[in-house]
Amino acid sequence: MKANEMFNRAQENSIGNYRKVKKNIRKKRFANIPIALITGAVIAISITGCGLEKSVSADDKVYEQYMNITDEYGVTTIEVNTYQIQRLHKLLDQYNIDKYEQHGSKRVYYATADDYVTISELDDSYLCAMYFSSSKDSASEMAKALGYESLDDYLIKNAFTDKNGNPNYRLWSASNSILMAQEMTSNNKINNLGGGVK
Amino acid sequence: MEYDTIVLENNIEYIIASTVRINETKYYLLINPLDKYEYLIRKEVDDELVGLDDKNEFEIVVSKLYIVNAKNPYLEAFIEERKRINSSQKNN
Repeated sequence: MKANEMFNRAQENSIGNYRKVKKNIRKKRFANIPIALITGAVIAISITGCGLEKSVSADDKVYEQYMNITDEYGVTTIEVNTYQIQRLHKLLDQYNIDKYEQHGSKRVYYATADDYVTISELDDSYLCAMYFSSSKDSASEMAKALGYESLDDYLIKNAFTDKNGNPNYRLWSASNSILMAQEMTSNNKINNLGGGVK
Repeated sequence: MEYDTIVLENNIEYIIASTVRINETKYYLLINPLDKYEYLIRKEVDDELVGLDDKNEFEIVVSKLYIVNAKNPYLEAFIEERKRINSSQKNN
């Protein structure tokens, strides 16, 4: 099935007067489900709405979840941060992106968007590590490779904004850390992406 | 791993991949564990899950979704679609 067909199908299955279902959430253990499908698909983040009124408490809720990350996922914030930086460096090393200056364990990249567009696995989730481990300029170059005008443009377009519509780095960081924690605890989801579901 | 699940009107038990709250309305991103091609969105109204009103609402919710991995061909189209939606919203 082609990707646009899947998207259209999702739209078709989401809109309309379906029979109402009582919210009856269960917990179930899935042994062989590729977690990739879940974490690799999309992670919705409770943030402000574009074109809708803004949810005032959404920012705090995400941040609160981040602060409880140890309890929820069994990993510490330090582990999460280390993981996502190593994940970033590993990806860039794979593509021989060696335009960086080493400062202790820290790398400050000076590669440009033209360098990053060569990375087929690159996605938005690497931006945060680049921002915190390298610089805002580095992250902006990477954001350009992903089709955004800048890092701020990425934040705004993805609704990581405060109530005034300005980029909200704290919200973004918290959301991304949750994502990384999910990835860390999801049985090598990257390697499983694209796998079938049986 | 253990997941929250919910059974929809078609008697399929979907995994709640995540939720998004927009304007006090909670939306659910649901994935069919038996069909990797099927995902959908529902919203909560009066403690019940219902379909979305229209394409506009769908696109707004989609534009809030966080993309994890662009390598998946399904996500590739999804990303393109989201960029189109974001661009369209920006121009409006």
